[in-house]
Amino acid sequence: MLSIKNLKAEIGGKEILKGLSLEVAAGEVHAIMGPNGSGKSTFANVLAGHDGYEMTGGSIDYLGKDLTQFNVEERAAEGLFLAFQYPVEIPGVSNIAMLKTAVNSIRKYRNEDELTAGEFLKVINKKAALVEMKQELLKRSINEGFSGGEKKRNEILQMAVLEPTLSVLDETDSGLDIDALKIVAHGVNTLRSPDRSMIVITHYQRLLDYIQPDYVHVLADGQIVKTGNKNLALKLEERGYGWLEKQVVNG
Amino acid sequence: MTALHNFLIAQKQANEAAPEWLSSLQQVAFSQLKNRGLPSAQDEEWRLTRLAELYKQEFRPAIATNTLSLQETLLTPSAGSRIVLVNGVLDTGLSDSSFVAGLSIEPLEQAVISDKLNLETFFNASPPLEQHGFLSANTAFSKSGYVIRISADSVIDNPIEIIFIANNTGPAAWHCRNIIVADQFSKATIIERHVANDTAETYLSNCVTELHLADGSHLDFYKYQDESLDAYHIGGVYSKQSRDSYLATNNIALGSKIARTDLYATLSAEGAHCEMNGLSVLAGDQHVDNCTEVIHAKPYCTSDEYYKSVLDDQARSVFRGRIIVAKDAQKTDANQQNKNLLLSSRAEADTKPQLEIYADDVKCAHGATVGQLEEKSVFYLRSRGISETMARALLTFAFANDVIRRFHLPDLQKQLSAQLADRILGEAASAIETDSLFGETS
Repeated sequence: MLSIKNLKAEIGGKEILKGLSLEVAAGEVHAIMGPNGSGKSTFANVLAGHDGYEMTGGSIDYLGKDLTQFNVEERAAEGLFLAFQYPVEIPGVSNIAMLKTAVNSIRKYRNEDELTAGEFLKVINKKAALVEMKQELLKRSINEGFSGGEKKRNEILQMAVLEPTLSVLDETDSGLDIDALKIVAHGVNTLRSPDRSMIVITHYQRLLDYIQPDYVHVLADGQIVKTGNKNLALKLEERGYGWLEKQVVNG
Repeated sequence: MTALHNFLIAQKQANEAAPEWLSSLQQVAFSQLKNRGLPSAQDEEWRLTRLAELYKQEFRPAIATNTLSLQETLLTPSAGSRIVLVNGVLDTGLSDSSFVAGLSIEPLEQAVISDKLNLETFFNASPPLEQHGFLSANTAFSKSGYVIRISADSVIDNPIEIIFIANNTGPAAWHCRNIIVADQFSKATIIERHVANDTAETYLSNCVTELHLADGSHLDFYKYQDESLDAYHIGGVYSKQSRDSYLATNNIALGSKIARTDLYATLSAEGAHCEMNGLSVLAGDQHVDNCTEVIHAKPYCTSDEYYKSVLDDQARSVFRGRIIVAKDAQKTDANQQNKNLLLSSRAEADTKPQLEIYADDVKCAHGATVGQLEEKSVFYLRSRGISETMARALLTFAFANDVIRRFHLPDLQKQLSAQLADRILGEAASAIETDSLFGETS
């Protein structure tokens, strides 16, 4: 599904990703862990097509297409979804209006009929139940006055509604209490399917107790330095990242 | 001497019907106008609003007009009482002031004669003592306008609507003075609409509204302005609030060449609360100047001011937000926010917060911003599959709609949201139901 080779990217002239390679097959869940400043968020933003990051080398193949030829909204329409680490607040536009605009923009791109208000409501009500999102939050302005947990649940709700092929969850667990984390994880697990892949970026092993990854990768200094299964995450929890960074230096 | 000043001075004519108190008030105002003239670029409060074009205009006094030529859209059906003034002259045919218990509506010319309201007590009692030329001209020449009194303990359910329609042939100027008196514990909503027929030529509408709120009264006041792009609107909303009264002034400016409004709110007794909301959405070479002042004269009063502008092309907005907290106005809680969104590199916003605090136990917060759309918000929406153009339009709409959300009249909110969506989102607006677009406040 996703094949990244030797990806290099910089922001403001500073190189952050220094040759990252990753293969994700359909239906797989990959966790990417790493210390602060290792390039985790940069990686998520580059995948989503953020203009602020300049890709300086390598390739990203997504479902047989060169992902870099698409702009941000085209990537979304091609089935890529980014759950934000810090979802933005947009006072003055309701959650539900934004979602309907998004769904119909994507349907239009795919030459599908746009959903009517009634059809859309049916979809959203079903998905809102998945993340235990109250009706009133749907009508409220996007993320305005939402708690940290509500914001993250809103990200998962958007993911559920947009039904992406590849989801990138950028530190969706940070700032969540255990109850919110369970709800978020339940949403994510429900959305797992043989033709949907996920990249879960996290700082903590805790999330992986609830979302079981197929692979765990360690990102350090802009490169994937170690790949393993979920036991690697446990080892990281125990020993930190220091031993891996040293390996890079030595190796 | 400018052409406008000459024109105004030549207007001097004895108002035979006026009672003595009014004649002498108008005499004084006329002398002030004659001696001091109209504001110039040297006046600090006017220097950012270029009036040279206005001063060159050769206006004539406004005359009543054939109302058959009015577009139907200017007169939306209304459930409540309604007064219509065309070119500043009362149109009895279009007005509907059928009896509503607790509500008295009279045209100014009638009210000064009948004097049921003891108008002398209220006329010109809310503006500051230091008055600029346009306000003097308004006092000196206003022969029409409306006078509303809501009697004690009366709750008027339906909004009262005042529509000012411009439909002049040839450049014209008019001066209206409106007086609203809310007696003790009364409650009402009043909407002033300033609109223009398509055929209206250049005009100057100099329109001053005074709001007098007695103890415990509640008034929700809207000034909606969507006029001709050749229009000059110089206006004022001057309020004086008594103990525990509540006032909201909602000021929406969408059209005219230059619109200058002075909004002065005086909190003259304990426990009064004043809310001031303002929204300007401008394009082309439109110019809006809102000169606001909140005077906390007594302790335990609160004020909350929220003004925004959206400026495209070379449009310009000027905001002055002065808050004065008098020496004994302890426990004042005043908030002021002014946010301006520039959609073009040629647009300009000037914002001048001015806080004068003479008391020591007060809470005064203020903030002013001038900027573009936040790129992280644009990215957020685009990452959901929404095109960049649509994302920017949605965010612009959201920025403006944020003010509409603060209003208290759901029907008007819906109507304004739809109008904004139509203006900002264009065709895309139909893709989204405006009802659902409207983000509810937390």
